[in-house]
Amino acid sequence: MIGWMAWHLHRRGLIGFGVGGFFGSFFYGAAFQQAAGTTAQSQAAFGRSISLVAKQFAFLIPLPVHPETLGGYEQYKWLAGAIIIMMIWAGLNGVAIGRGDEDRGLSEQWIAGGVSRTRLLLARSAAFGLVLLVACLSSVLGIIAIAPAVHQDPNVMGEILKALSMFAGLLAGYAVALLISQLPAERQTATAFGIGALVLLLILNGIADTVQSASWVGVVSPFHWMERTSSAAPGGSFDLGATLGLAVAAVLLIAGAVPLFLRRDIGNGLLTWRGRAHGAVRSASNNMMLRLPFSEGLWEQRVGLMVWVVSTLLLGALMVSVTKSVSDALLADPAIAAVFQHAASGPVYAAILGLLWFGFALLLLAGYAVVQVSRWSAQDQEGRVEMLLSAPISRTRVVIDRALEFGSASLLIVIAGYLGVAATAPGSGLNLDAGHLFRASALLWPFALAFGGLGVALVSRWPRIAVPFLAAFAVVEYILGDLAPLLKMPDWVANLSVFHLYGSPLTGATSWTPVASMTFVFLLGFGAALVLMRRRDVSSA
Amino acid sequence: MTAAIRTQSLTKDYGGGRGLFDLDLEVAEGEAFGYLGPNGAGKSTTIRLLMGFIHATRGSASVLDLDAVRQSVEVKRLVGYMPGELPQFGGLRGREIAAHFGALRGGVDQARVNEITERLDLDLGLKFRQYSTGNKRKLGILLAFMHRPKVLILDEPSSGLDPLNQQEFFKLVHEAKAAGTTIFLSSHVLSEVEQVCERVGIIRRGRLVKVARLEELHEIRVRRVEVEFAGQPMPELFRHLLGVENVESSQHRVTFTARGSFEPIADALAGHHVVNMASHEPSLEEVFLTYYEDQPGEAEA
Repeated sequence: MIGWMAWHLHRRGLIGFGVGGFFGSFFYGAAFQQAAGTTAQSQAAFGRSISLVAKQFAFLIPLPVHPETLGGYEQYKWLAGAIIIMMIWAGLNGVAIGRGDEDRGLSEQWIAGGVSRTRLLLARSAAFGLVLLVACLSSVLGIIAIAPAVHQDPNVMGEILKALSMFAGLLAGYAVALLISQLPAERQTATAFGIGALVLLLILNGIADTVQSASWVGVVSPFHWMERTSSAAPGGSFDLGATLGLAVAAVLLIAGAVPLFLRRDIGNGLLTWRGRAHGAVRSASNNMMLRLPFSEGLWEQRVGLMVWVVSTLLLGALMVSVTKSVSDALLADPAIAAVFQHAASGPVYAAILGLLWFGFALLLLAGYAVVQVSRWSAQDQEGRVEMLLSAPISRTRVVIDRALEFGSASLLIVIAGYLGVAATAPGSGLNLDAGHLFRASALLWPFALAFGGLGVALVSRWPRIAVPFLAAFAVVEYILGDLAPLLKMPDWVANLSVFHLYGSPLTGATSWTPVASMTFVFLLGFGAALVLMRRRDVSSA
Repeated sequence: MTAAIRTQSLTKDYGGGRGLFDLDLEVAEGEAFGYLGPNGAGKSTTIRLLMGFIHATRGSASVLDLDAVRQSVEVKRLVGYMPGELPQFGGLRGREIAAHFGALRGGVDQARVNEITERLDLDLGLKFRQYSTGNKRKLGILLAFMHRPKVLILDEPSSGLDPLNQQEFFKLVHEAKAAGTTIFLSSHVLSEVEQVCERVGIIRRGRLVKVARLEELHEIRVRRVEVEFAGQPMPELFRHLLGVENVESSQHRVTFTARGSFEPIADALAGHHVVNMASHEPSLEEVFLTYYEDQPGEAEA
């Protein structure tokens, strides 16, 4: 049963993260020699520069261990980022197993077929655990495969132990989302709270890593305990206690979800507001938001959208508030100060904020695009699009409304981020140029629209596979944006990455090329969506 | 009278013999047409083609002389559609769903919404996920009827409704029909169609096998015959007779269905001691079942 579930209910994630993980680690491994050179001296110099620059990202990504080696470089450049993406994936699966199965009628079918709720939850968790284990192992297999080709020792045992540590931490993240998903009344709210909790745990770990007096807050975060294993790097360590602790925590959290699942009604959360008894309502609502499909979409996702908006505002404010202390600590090191004076084209604080906040905001918006496409995909498969088309509206209108819905929602998130940064910056001692800050924030919108355009195109034609495709595209784009400068690829290759196109607008010169390019990507996706939607068969069956 | 629904060689081929093939059908304006067939016969495929949700492999479909694909928006302005199952609307309340679809259609009379919800005893204050199966069907009825459409396309509309609400639903359909609305009602249950339709089409394995008025189907000369012998029953006397099917025996009796002339049966009984013999016209349900069942060798074809 577990194997059947793993394959039939997770095969897209299994293939996506299995294949993506392998090739991600493979390509980062292949890029090592290009970036670090082939001599011991050049690799040592490369490692020193990575270590210096890495301190500014310590909020998100742990400091590297022996980045002058293939394993250390890969652990820092590939696995640290992959863990964040896989954690979101694990969280989405936690909510999907906790609540999504019920919306699809699967839970009722299994329970009616004589499967107990306890067995159902444990079997579903074991099936996802199996898929997660394969994905974690795949994400280190590529480096083992490429190591001989770049004349490095394949640190097989260290890589596998690192994968096991990731597995335990990600399973704990899955379990957190699974547990939380038992509480809210709606699946959408459960998704917002489940993913929100994981983002909070990531932030707590960031605070613990950068603010010494608050290092204790990291103990509740699985990211903190995963960081304690660095065995992929030569000389790194495997923390058996931390890994076992994460595994035990995961099991306990899954076990904790069982009594909540037993207590609540299928299709309803444990914390349901019953409301007061009222007389039967016979008339339709007068809510103006329901008049148009795009505003109806915003109304329907209002709780989740509010979580995104408020989280972005708080995150922006938090990042700004720690930027000066992090920067001062970094700049106390003359070598790092020299790197920044040399590399940054604008004020140093702005340069660090650009990396710290705007780099993260790009990932947030790409993540929002994936979540939004996931919502449309579910609606399509449940028959909502068919029902929408039973009204006198065209397929073109459906695509336009989706674009408007995504455009409005992403604009709200961008504005929230801008307000969070703009309101906190003066009090945090950062003397930011108002025009540059506005431009850097405003450019986030066409960046989001580029992902949204592609997402609309994918979901218009292939709703079942749109989510893994868009997620894989985001990963590839991120890797390309990251590797292109290292590998000294031509500009046109680097510009294929939307992350690279965004550039460093907080400190860089004004250029309309990125705006035009990202707008072009959006229009291309939108145009493709119009054509693809017109040609496809719409059916919930 | 002009055709409200017309299909010509309408085909949707999913491969492997699945789909809908060469459907030629006309439903007159103001007519109530029942579309009968077992599960998977192609009823919902036909409806999806009429609604422009899916594209035909070949052939054409039109509703009120409007092409179902090219003039899809205009078609749906005139059509009320009730799917076999409503999609998930999750946390939206009934009144929000009604408002949303009412706004998309435009010109929906609030009094009409009130009237239908009152008659069906539907509480629009509840969230969709709180609705029972029956209440979801009632909401589907509301969405299909609230704008007084010229054509109603209903996919198994009364399943899941309790008898009282079924009656109320059929009253709504009769009223719509009296107002000149064309009804296209798909079902696999004859009693549902019998309530409102005067003409039916029977579809099996993606092909229309019969179109007839209900009373015509009654007239098909398939009879159930019961022969009571004085001694042991002799079913073997009838098994190979032309037009005789479903031969069964119990105690002193042999029963079978017979088409056409009774002469071969009388010949077969000659010289045997028969105590009683009776012939009954089969129920309408049995007539339909004969169309539903696969003919010998057809399943392999």
